[in-house]
Amino acid sequence: MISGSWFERQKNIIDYSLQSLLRRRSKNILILIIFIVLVFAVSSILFITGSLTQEMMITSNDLPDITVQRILGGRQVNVLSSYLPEIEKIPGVEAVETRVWGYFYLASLQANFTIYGMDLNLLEEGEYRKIVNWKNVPDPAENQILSSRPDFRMIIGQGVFELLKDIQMEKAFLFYQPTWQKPIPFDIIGTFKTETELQSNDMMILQTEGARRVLELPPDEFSDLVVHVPNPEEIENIALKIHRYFPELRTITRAQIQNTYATVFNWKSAFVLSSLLVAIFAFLILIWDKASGLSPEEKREIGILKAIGWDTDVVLSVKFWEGLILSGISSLAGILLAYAYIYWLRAPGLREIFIGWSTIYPSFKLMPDVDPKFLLLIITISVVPYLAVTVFPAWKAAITDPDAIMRNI
Amino acid sequence: MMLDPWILGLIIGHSALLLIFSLGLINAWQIFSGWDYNSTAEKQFLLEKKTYLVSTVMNFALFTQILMLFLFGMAADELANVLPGAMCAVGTLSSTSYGFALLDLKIVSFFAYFIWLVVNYLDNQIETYPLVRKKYLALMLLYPFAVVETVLLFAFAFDLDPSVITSCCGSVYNEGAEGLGASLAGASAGFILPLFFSIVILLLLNRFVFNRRDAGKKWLGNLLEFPLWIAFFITAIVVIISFISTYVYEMLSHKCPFCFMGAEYHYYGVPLYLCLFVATATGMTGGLLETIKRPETLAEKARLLQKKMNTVSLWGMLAFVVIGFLPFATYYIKTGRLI
Amino acid sequence: MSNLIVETINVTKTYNLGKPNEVTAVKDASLQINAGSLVVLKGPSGSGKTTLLSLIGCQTKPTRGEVIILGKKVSKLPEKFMNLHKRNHIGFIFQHFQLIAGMSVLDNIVLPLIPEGISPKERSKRADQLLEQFDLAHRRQFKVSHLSGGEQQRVAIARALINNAGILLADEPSAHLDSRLTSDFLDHVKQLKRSGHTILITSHDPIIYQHPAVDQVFEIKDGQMIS
Repeated sequence: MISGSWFERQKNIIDYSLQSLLRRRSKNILILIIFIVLVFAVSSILFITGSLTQEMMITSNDLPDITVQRILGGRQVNVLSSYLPEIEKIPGVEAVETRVWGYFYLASLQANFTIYGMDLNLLEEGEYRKIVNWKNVPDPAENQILSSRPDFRMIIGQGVFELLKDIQMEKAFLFYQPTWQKPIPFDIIGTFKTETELQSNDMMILQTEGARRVLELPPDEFSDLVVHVPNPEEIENIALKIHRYFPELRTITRAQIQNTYATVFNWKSAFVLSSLLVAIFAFLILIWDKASGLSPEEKREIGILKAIGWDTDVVLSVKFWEGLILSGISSLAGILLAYAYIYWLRAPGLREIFIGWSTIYPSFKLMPDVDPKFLLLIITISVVPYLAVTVFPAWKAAITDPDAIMRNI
Repeated sequence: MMLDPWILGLIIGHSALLLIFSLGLINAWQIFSGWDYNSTAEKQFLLEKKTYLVSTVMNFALFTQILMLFLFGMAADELANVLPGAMCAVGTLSSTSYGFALLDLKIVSFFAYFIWLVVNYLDNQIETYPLVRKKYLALMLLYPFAVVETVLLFAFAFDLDPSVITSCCGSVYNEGAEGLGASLAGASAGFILPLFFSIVILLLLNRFVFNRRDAGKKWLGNLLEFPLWIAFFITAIVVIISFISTYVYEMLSHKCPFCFMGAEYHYYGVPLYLCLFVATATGMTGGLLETIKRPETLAEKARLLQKKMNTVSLWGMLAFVVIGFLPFATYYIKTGRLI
Repeated sequence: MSNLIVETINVTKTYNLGKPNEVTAVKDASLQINAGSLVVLKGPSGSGKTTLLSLIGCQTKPTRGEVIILGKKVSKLPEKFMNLHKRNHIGFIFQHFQLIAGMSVLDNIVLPLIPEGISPKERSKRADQLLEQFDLAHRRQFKVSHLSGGEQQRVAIARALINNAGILLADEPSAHLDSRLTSDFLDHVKQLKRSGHTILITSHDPIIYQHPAVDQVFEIKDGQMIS
């Protein structure tokens, strides 16, 4: 008897396994569906973590080298201007910048905005001009300060803009706190158009002087300082030095922020994954049960195959391929569904868990970014346990005695 | 302890591996202690059936181990994002004392599983299963390593601490620093390249001169392949760190054997390592098969397989050299100088 | 005895050895079958003839004794090698035909070729020959569950022949057939004998064991050979 090559044999066996799966469609459909749902859940979590980390990395590249905060009684308080010359003297420091920022809670919308003070003239003239959709600007070529009140202008994130539109304040916004005598009106002169919206979405950039009014910040105090260090190798060192000279100052480097973000994202995703483990475990028990409890029909079929000369390892191969086809197809379907859910539907339900506290983000785009690494991880979490659970039942089925069908068992 | 999807994936994979290996161990013990070829008792029939279970277990173990090897490398790379100071996989691995030990153990396990499966394949072709006891004894000896691997993985996971600043390839493979990594990288190209190529040439000589059909000490030549391939693997790794990597990154200070497996280097490292592992696995197994002398029928099959393995390993080695020195060649042609 | 093809020497098969439900189905059975002969193994049901057929057909291993097929002692071989011998030399026709219900006639017939790595094209080529021979060509793509009993048996014969086995074993072939179909079956058997096959049939049906084409009849009772 002439036998074909190893590849021909595997091809035949795969072909047979596929048909065998199709013949038992009704039995396998339940496993298929649950499997798809689980892979979908796992992949969604991994995709959103990956994208968020990616997005965070991109946006955080613009973060300052070192941020300096003043801590009093364990709380962050305003930094006094007297620190500036001292820090500037440290070798390796190129420049120290002061920052004015804070939050503004708008009770009527239950939204929290991030307020940031800067000299908007720089934005209008500099290279950043193109990241803003300028509004209410009659002729940008004139390069004229539009408002009659230059200190009370602001540029807002797209998310803030959409919100303010609902209350007809998209042209000018009134800041008001009950302790103030009267509200402070601001002209909105533009919105941000960034490729990644995560961080700028709830942002209001105010002219510094106006921001001081809104945040009630005295003239010689700042929210925090930003230190520029041209040599990245020195950042860590200089941060330590600042803290050593002024123990009341806290220094945060860019790398620390990135690590913290990534850790938080990974922790959240692992936390959700761990809670999924129970479901995965239950699923594996179901598989074990299904795989061990062969129907009389299947038992007979394996008996026939053994009786007409199929080897035990051939039957094992069939079982292995059945498992691989089933888990492979389910994984693929689950991954594709997750891709659609995250990148097309923007992960409703899941993004709240990951982005966090505020409902301010009416929209945020996630950049499709699927590293093949993630596919390997998903396969490890789905296919490997599936095959592991089926090893023993498959063997049990495959060792059916060839004479079993002759003894009418 | 760090809760992280990659750690979770590794733990799931390793647990599956250990669980299935435990199933194999129990059955291997039963076969080892109860095997009696001449018995016609139903017990012997059952043991014979159990050999299929153990084979399946080992196939699963090898498959999972390969997957875990890749996953471990990628996890280490990915975790570098959350470990301060770690820029790539090296930083992650060296941030605990278990990282590199685990990696080394995984590589050894991979080769051991491969050899076991090859011997098993051969033995299963002979009607009397002549190596049955030795095979299952070897399998039982492999089990503790799988346990240690899992323990190391947990130790590694528990030891990872995002609040401790770790060092990275810049300092691990920094020639001025101390430690094994530094001396690996410090091995100057002028020293390691001649060593590497003399091993390559020795392997070729061994294959084509001492191992010709009419050569007298053919068995010795074949046996020599085993240590030679191990030496090849180790020197190849050193060459990758100290020489190949500098040309891939085109930077003298960046010496990392992991970073180039990622997308930003077009997965350059994947075919490189694939060739290295395939060549070494087949090469050393080919040498080891020389020790199979009896029975004659088995030795005959072993010789046949040995020939195939020798061919595969040779091509694998050539592919490795070509892929490995491609960045160097392109850099040299482009710029006309060395780094 | 120059052309001995099947031989059993004192084979004994005990199921559940050493357990309370121990039962010896075949005891010290010895027989010899010549190549190209048509042999019937007769005996009442429960006499052990099906077990003996299993032993000769390499479906199970004896507890004691030897089974020799084409000069090879198969009873001592590990399952895998016994199976190989079975695939190469023996075709089996089971009592209940044992076809896979959800599959077509063609797929059932070519089943033994799947693990051999024979390509689908070559498989259908071989099968078509047999389908023609057994008048099943028009049923090629039918599910076997839609066939009549006689047709199902012809599918079972075709499957037993697809490996070009020289030895054919049939277990109680007339059990589910009426007398007309039984005589059809015997016609096929005669034809196969003419083409050089060695055929061993178990039966307690006189139509079969008294048939003129039968060369030899062995009788078994309570697991022991009577003649």
